[in-house]
Amino acid sequence: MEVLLTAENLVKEYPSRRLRARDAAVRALDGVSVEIQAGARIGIVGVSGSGKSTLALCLACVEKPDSGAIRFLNRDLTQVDESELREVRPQIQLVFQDSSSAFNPKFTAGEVLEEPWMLQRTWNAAERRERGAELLVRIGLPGNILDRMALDLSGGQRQRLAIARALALQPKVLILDEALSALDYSVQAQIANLLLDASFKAAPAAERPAIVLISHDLVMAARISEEIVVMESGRIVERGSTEKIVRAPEHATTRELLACSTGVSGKFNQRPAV
Amino acid sequence: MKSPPRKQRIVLLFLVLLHGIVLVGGFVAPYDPIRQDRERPYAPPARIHFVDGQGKFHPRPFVYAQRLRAGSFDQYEDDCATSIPLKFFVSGASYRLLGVIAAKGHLFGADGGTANLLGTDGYGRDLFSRILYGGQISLLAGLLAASVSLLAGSIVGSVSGYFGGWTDSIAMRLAELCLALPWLYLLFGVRAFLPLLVSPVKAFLIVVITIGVLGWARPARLVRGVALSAKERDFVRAARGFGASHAYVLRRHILPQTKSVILTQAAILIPQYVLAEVTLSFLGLGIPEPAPSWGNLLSSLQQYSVLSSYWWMYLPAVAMVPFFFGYLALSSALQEGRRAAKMDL
Amino acid sequence: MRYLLRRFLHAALLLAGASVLAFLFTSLAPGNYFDEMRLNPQISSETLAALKAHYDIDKPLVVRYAAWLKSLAHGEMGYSFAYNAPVSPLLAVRARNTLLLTVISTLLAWCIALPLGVWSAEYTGRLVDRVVTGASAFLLVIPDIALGLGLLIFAVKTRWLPTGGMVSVGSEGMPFSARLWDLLLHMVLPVAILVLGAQPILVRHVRSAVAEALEEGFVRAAAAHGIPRRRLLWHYALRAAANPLISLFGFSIGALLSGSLLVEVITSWPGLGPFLLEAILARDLYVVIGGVLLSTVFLVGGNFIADVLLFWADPRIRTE
Repeated sequence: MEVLLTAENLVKEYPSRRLRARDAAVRALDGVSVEIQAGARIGIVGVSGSGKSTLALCLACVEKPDSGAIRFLNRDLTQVDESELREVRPQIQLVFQDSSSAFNPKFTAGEVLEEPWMLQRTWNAAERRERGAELLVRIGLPGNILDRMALDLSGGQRQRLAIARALALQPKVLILDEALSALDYSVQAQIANLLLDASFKAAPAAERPAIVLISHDLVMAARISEEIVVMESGRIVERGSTEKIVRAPEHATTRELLACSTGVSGKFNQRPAV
Repeated sequence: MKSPPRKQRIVLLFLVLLHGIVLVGGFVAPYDPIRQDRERPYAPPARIHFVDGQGKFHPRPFVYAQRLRAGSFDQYEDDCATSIPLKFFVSGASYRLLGVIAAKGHLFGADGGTANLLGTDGYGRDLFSRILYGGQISLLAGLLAASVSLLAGSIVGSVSGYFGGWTDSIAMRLAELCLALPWLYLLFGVRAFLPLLVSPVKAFLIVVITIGVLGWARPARLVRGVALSAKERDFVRAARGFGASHAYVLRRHILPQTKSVILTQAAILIPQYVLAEVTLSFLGLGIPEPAPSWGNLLSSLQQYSVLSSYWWMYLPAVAMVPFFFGYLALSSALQEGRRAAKMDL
Repeated sequence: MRYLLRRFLHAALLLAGASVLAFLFTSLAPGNYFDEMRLNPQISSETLAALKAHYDIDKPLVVRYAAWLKSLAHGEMGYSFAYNAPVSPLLAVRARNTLLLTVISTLLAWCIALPLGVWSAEYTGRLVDRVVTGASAFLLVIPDIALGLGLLIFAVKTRWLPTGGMVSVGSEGMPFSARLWDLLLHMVLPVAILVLGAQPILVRHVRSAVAEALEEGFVRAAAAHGIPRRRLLWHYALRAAANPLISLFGFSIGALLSGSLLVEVITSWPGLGPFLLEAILARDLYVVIGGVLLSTVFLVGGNFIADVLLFWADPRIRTE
């Protein structure tokens, strides 16, 4: 599988507010390297403050790392200028945790969904509407929501809409930053299945996005991912295939995360590959 | 857009009605505002009667002709022998409705004489007509100046808040400076440096632009606040993630959020600017004669003789009150509406 | 202490900025003032030449600004063409009169607004509150010019008060107490107009600040401890409301200063207002600039006093 997106030795510091304690600057990322291949499903787990969200933001080019490189198809994204970056951005999509702030409060669901196409495609209104309906079917949302205000939808529906919007431009990488964490457990499961379907059943292999799921729930991440990366205090402390991580965790943090996750029994069934 | 709550609608209707009357001032006013009648300076308001001296009731209202009291040069009395009936929808002096359409019809007029319902000024000009025409100018000045301020403030504020950095720091320091200067003094100071003896049209433009431009700071700060918080929102990040340009984000996501702030500011600024124009004209720095403005209608009150003897010259000030009441009610209704909307979410 | 220094620096910077703006206006005004002056027969050509040399019209902008600042520091504010005299002494007298009016109006306005606002907050919803709020709303709707002219007409008709000027003619000969009384009588009208005009906004803000403070946890705790109501209102709630009220104080100084311009003209009070107006109509450039600058100094100074008050009132700022 070709390598799509890599992070090489990312370092990012958030300066501390106090003027005196300069050494109290928080290192969100302390030399993190990750490789994402086409069609891969990776879970990045850790507790709050471990740096996983910062990693997601850097990978999606929303934040710039202080040092290190981010390569997409061999182009170093930290070195390109704004207009080039704008071309690349649609290929790496980010879904946020809180969907209620991810939509303009005055937009309808239809406007939210169609915005990427308005920006990047030259389709007319009718075509957009049609594609929108198709996308809704894939994502499991009823067609009549298009005219409702985006923020009026339920939490689960909103998250589906956010994922739909992220998939609209057929990105190569889909990053979900705690996107399931705010949902009910049953809804989480539904959306997890959705992601797996999107990854498996989405037409030809070329269109299947690589999925990166950021979460503090190791079991949930394990359900979706083939590979798991465990982070703590800005560093990667363990990584490996999901099976190995779940059955034989090495690092203390990994074991703690396993213990904290819901439904821990060690027995774990991953959904079979197609 | 959700339809505005009932209270806002009532207030808006009230304001629209008031402005409407002034808008068709040419129709409502019986006389040409510039037409002088040197025979009748400072005539008091004519009283409307329905019952004549003999106790007879007339369905059509009438006034008595006024004549100078014998031996006096400014005391008028009613000539009970000559009654002047008021007719409705008459043809009178020609004017331009809304400034464009030539017309001659008036709401009412006096048949066989002049009926000055609110008296006349020093040149014998009908005060009622001048108040209506003056209102057109003063209100328009306030509205236009407020638009200038809001436009300038929105542009500066949104660019400053969205892009941040040096532009933002400089713009906000400048805004702080402008707000630190006492407003009226600053207005007068700037006015001083612009030509004084100009035509009414030029003077109007000077007044509108000066007041408008000087008032950019407060709207700019408020819009900047909205832009600052909006640009951090995820939906802006998402749009950038789809490759949106800054211009798109500003246009589609940031500026619509400023709508409510701008509306509230408009309700506050318009009366403030109308008052500014009135003050300038009152002191001779605004709209010059013979064009009427509520301000220069009041300027004769600076003379003691007028102040003490001709009370009706104060009426333009009274005419301003319902408008100010309307705008005040509108801004408090808007505030209440926003508070209620916040609680719904 | 650092806080005070910071605020002082801030005030100084504001004044510097204002002086730059003022200076820019003198040089960018359309039409060369000296050309206009040449047309004025009152000014001799020698005076013109001297003034021109003094003001270094041909030197670069920065040099002129520095020279202007220097003379400003010496208390010189230019030359009045209309009066044929230096500007500073002319402005000084007027400034004193305006200051007198503004300071007394501010103090009186707050002395009335504070109790009214506190009572309104205390008895929210009851008759006192409704009367006060209603009267405020009524006053708020009346524009300043209408209020001023209206009160003036009232004064004229009732003849209870002198209707113009600061002192009566021939008052120099009167004994001190009579002169003071005369001055006070003349002040009643302008002060009344300013105070009444300021009431609605002040009362409303005092009321809301105190009402909010009364909801604060520690105030309720104090009430539960049995602290008498009056002490609660004035010592606890008002203290808690001090911050917004002190900023309001700073704002009120600006509003009253701007308002005083019109009021002085209407009541013929010999302050900066009428003088400025005269100067504008006579195109007396340096008087105008001096007047605007002086009023800015008052405003910035007043706000600095508000900052000092905040420092004194809020212990949190003192320990910063």
